[in-house]
Amino acid sequence: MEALSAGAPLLDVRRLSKRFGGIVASAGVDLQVNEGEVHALIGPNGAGKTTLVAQLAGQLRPDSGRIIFAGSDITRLAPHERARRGLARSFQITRLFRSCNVLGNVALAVQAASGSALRREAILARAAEMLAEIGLEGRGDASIEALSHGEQRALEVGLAVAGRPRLVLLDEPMAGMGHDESRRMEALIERLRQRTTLLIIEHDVDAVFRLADRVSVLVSGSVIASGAPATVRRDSAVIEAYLGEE
Amino acid sequence: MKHRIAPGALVLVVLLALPALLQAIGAGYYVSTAGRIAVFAIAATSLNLVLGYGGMVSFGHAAFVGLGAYATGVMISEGSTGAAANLAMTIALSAFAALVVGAISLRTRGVYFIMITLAFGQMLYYLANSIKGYGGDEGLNIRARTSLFGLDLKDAATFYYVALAVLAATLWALAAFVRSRFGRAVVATRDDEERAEALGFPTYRYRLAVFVAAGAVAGIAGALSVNQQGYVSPALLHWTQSGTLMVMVILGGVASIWGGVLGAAVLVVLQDTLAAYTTYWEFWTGWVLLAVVLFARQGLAGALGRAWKR
Repeated sequence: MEALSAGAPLLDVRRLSKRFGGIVASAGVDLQVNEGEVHALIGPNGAGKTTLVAQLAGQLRPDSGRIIFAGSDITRLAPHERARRGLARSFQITRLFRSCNVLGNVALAVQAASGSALRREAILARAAEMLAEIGLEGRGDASIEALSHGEQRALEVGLAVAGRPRLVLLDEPMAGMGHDESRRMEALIERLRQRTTLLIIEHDVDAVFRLADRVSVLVSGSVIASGAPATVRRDSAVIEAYLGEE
Repeated sequence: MKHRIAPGALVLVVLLALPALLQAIGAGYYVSTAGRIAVFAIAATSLNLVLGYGGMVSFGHAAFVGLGAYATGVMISEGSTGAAANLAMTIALSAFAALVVGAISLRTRGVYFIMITLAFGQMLYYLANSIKGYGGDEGLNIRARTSLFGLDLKDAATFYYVALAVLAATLWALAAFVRSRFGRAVVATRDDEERAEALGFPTYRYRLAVFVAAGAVAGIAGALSVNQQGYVSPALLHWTQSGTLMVMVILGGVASIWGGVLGAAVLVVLQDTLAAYTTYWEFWTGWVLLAVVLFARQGLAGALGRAWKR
């Protein structure tokens, strides 16, 4: 793993731009995520959050701009190469492996990140640890279909974290959740912040302001404000464009 | 436990004694049918690796069988009958073709992948038609056979045992693949490619490796075929042959170790039996396929598995 020079952000996004025909999805996005923090990215529908996540994780290529992760330029790397460098993601719409059980899903995530370094027993042991951490201990033998929506969302996040990444992009982890399920996800994120850096893309603004160390606001493809939750909440541009008068 | 071992051992004994059994009941002709089934089973099993485990609906698989048959056929007609040389050339040619076809086709998905593999298969079919020096559209007859440990491959029973041994090795390799970490990653890629890649699996490379390995095994089936028939023609590469292999896989059981074997056995026996009564045998096999697809979603292997657990 490459050493970070002191003070440099773990993820440094510079002037990232992406357009689809006449639609500008990213209009020169600048974003810095520091090691160890929980960073939230919020913004109204259509602000370009999903497109930005896809560019950070490598599913989409930006038209211009750079993505620096842990000191090296990853703008041109394929998704699997970014994952192997410790940049993981979860998906807004749950994507799990339906032909394996719950433990098998996490084991695949551990295997993918460790290459051929671990034996099967070690992979399964790590996967079982991960299951306990995401609150699914005892559910290892269950099929994916047998899980509740909340459990599937927890497993979705668990797959992203299982490979012990340095940075995890959580794409709307609370999507489609009721109040109780959201609180459980919040508790899970509180536990995960002990072990890794998190960039959370989320609609639930209340949860975001409780969880995040810093918040960035994306509007019309560019970041209009970035800072501590209390500061961002009072920012006049943010209030006008997104939060509205309270 | 002994109940689990018994049927497997029984099947093995029957398979080993099959030529003698068929001779005993005066049906010696069917020994060569059994050999044909074994060859089809190897080809269908290799397609099941691509289609069932890899999730790649390849509609040009027969081209690799045909290329393997031509590789060995041409070598024999040129007087080179050494088993090692024949096998090496067969694998080299069919694997290389699969590498080129796969490297391009795997950049597409879904119906485009089906169409592009079909197109490549037909290109190779027309290529085989145009090789005038080796029979062209009439096909290539060979008088000699691959020399393998001094065995006479023209003898139906001998050929049957050789094909059965190759089939056993193929099934063993498939079972080992399914249990391996590579196999797990390939099946995960079939389930959800984007997620598998996001986790760190190099999905394109993995799928290409599977495609090439399956192409090589298909080529070996072709090399066996030309040794059994003494003949190879472009028809072996035709897209309808790819369709037949696909029907075998679906009939027998997609992503099941025994799927290719069961599908090949049932389809060949069905064809031969029905062809004796009607020229419209395809009409009736169509109904059988329809019934299996509708009522036994995991094919015959799935249905047998359920019956056995009961």
